[in-house]
Amino acid sequence: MLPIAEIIDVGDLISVIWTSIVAGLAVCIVFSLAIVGFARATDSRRERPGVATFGYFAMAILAFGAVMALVVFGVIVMTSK
Amino acid sequence: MDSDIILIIVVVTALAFDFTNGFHDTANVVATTISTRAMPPKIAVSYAAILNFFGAFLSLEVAATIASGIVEADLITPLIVFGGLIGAIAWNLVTWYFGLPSSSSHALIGGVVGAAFVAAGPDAILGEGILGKVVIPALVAPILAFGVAGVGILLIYRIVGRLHPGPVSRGFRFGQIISGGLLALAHGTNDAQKTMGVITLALIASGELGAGAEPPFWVVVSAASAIAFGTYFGGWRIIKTMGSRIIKMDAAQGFAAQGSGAAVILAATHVGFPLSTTHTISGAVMGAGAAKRFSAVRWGLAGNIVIAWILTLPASAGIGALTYGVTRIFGTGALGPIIVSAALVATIIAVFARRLRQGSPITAAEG
Repeated sequence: MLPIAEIIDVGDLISVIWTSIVAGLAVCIVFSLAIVGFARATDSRRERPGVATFGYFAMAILAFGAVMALVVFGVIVMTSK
Repeated sequence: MDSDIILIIVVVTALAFDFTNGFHDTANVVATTISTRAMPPKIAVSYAAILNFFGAFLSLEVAATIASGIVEADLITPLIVFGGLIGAIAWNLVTWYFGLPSSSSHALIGGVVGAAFVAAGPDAILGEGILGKVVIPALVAPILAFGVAGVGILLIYRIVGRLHPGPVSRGFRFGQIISGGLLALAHGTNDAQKTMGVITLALIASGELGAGAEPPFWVVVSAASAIAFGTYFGGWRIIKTMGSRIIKMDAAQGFAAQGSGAAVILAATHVGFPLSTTHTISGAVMGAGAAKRFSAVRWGLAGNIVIAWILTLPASAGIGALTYGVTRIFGTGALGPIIVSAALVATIIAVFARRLRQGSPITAAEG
């Protein structure tokens, strides 16, 4: 019976696991925040436009920008492998 | 003359495998997008086909061609590659017929292993390579994607739970267009590479290219086109399984499955760890479903899918071995591959004709 370290690179495996967890959860959280921002900004603008509207809108834009940055990073990973 | 004919047959068979790869794996990319109505079915497969095509051009790193580190590279001949391709095509068609998502890459590896075993005996097979590149990744991919998608959907529900469902659904449907596009690009990059590798290997083995040569441009374009056409034609049976038979998904679950799946695949790509797209997305779909309600997942169907995964390597190896054996009955010339190819085409036509007579139970309109 071969030890697992001789069959695969355990360091690579651990790296895949933690990177997947961080990236996968980051995508879910950040995109959800973008949706919350847009939804709250729309409600706020309808009820009482003001600082809160701007704040929610800024949150939505930042979060959406972060998601797009992750997408671009994904494409870079594909092109540089 | 014979070697030229064998080369042409191997190239055409490789492109046929590429077509079945796109056809079979469309579901990985578009199933949840279609089932949550983020995109209409035909638009979704067209979108996936275009991105698969462009994905094939993103990277031309084919150093790690098929079966590298799994069989002794020096022993690979065009007839072994042909046997491997037939094994992979046949297994892809069997699993498509039963609507089961399975790994096209593992089928190709299995086919080559089987053909190499018959051609050169057990010494040609590198057991550690099979464990490290097939068995362990096949365990890691679905479990990891299951966990990430499961936790991801719980976080999503926690964050958006107090909002009106309308804007939330619209938002996640839009998100699915982005995450589905990323998956399609990743699929085109990863899987079209394998066909390019097979054709390049055959060209090198036949002396048309020098050792270590890059794939010619016509190989890149034809592999990209074959996988894109296959994706466009869409394996609706597997789309139905992945999109709605395992679990009925809402848009947030669809996004969690695709986003987590893309993250796992790209993390593995970044590190150079070989994970199957099919195993990853299937695990993510089950994870996103089970986290909301464990009993919502049809575990019987999930079990059938896992059985198909377990059978992929031995079944495609068996078909690859049989193909090589039958081919060698006719010697090392072109007659064997011609007869086997003709038999395969006749079988495919018969199966499709039978299906047409029965009526197609799953169509794009239903998707």
